[in-house]
Amino acid sequence: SGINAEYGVGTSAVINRLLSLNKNVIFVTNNTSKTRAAYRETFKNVLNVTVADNQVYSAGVTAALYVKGKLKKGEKIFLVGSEGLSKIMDEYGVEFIGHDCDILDGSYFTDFVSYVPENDVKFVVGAFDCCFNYAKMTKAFIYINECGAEYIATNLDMNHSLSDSRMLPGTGAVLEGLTQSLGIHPKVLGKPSSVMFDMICADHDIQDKSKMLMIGDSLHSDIQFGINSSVDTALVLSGITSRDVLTQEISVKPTFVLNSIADLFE
Amino acid sequence: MSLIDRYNTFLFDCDGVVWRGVDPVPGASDVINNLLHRNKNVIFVTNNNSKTRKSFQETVKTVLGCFQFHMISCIVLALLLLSMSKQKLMPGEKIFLIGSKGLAETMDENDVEYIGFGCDTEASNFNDFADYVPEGGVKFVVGAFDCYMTYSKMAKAFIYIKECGAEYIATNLDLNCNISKTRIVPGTGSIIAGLSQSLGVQPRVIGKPSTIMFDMICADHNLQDKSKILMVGDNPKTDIQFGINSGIDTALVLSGVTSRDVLNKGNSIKPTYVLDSIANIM
Repeated sequence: SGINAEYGVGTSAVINRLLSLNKNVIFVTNNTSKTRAAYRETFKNVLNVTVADNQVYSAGVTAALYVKGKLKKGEKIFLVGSEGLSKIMDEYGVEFIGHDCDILDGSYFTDFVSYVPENDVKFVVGAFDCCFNYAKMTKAFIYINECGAEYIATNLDMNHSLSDSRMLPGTGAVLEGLTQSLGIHPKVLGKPSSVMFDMICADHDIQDKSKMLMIGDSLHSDIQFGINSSVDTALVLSGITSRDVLTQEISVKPTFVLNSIADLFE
Repeated sequence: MSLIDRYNTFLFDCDGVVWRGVDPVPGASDVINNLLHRNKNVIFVTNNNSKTRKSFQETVKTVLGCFQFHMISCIVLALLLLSMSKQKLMPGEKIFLIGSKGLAETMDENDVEYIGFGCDTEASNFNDFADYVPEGGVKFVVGAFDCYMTYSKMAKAFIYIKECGAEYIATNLDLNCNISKTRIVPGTGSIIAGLSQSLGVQPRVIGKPSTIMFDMICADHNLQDKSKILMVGDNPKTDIQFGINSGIDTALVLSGVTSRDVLNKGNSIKPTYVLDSIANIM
């Protein structure tokens, strides 16, 4: 994000130019509802860019890859997330429960006093879920608190912008109650955590960090991700961060500041 | 000198102290009847906000078998809420209510108009919220225990506070509650934590550890001597802090949300006494 249809033409040219110069171009997003196939479509239709699966790293796909790598046969996850994320889990063969959690099947007491958790739930995966409810939170709590499931989150952004005039609670807000009631923080897989960075380096056999540049519009997500991964960073002012905000920021400092990705060639 | 001799007024938290869900804590009934027999003041000070006064009285009778007691119940908490809301609600104004049926019934009984209560799964798509037009006249968002809490409600409450300037109040911020002997589940504090964090604003709290209920108890029972009052609870952040804020002695019991392990890890909130359970008061 920060690249959108408006910027299509200029962006498309930049990316295709980078590809023609044999540069590695990899997209790193905290999105948790789009499959890699959907991203391929979007890149084709909006930017006229052809991308391979391993050029798109989303927090959703990363979550699936991460748990898939650790789950033994027959083991599963408790999933808090969107319809899109459940499709990603299906795609990577991750067995999950909890996603279609009804708000409450019976009375409060029948539901929670006598709830018998399923076996073999090894992870609770938390992502943005606009169908989140108390029943899901409580079941997730039980799997972590009573069954020892590991607590993972795709990201912890407190707010999502719905439009220019409306901001709403984000993933961080969805999971905050679970986190506070447990008294433990989840392992975060998305930016600014460097988990996706490690996966990318392994996948693309990248050795030399000094030749990598992370480009993004969010100081606390994208630039911090670059800092945590020990690579140079470029903040673009075409998205959520204005020059004013940048001058007020004292802790997160990008290596470069660009008006947009078109400036990569300046 | 035993605790029974030292104090004249005993304030008891309920969940984790006298009962856990529907299971009485062993010895609770005996202790309370003993105290009543000795003409001590026995008052239940609970952050529970989902029972009506009537159903609370029933619970005390069935679970503990106690029939004579003074109490500050959830309903007074609700009424406090009410009086705070009502003072400031003009005709036609209302509240956005995150809360239980018991709380909604209390609002109905007292003619406080509310929206938002109940099962709201309106938006299955994040983009649905773009078209949401908030109602006029919503002056308060009230956060209380709500087992029907959803993202939809959180988003609407967020909009009423952030876009419409509604005041944000909460009954309590207990993160967990004992639902049975063996199970703890997320409580009111956890239900509204996401709303608070996304707003960057904490609600005004009416229940423990705020001293609002303590002031009401002292006035109601004409209590003059604070040194003769003991607060007994299982949660340092709500019960013990309530006692400390009110200037009275406190006893932490380990029969609820605080185990000896947690206690040994150290806590900045120090009770006057630590007991295994209410039975140790004798």
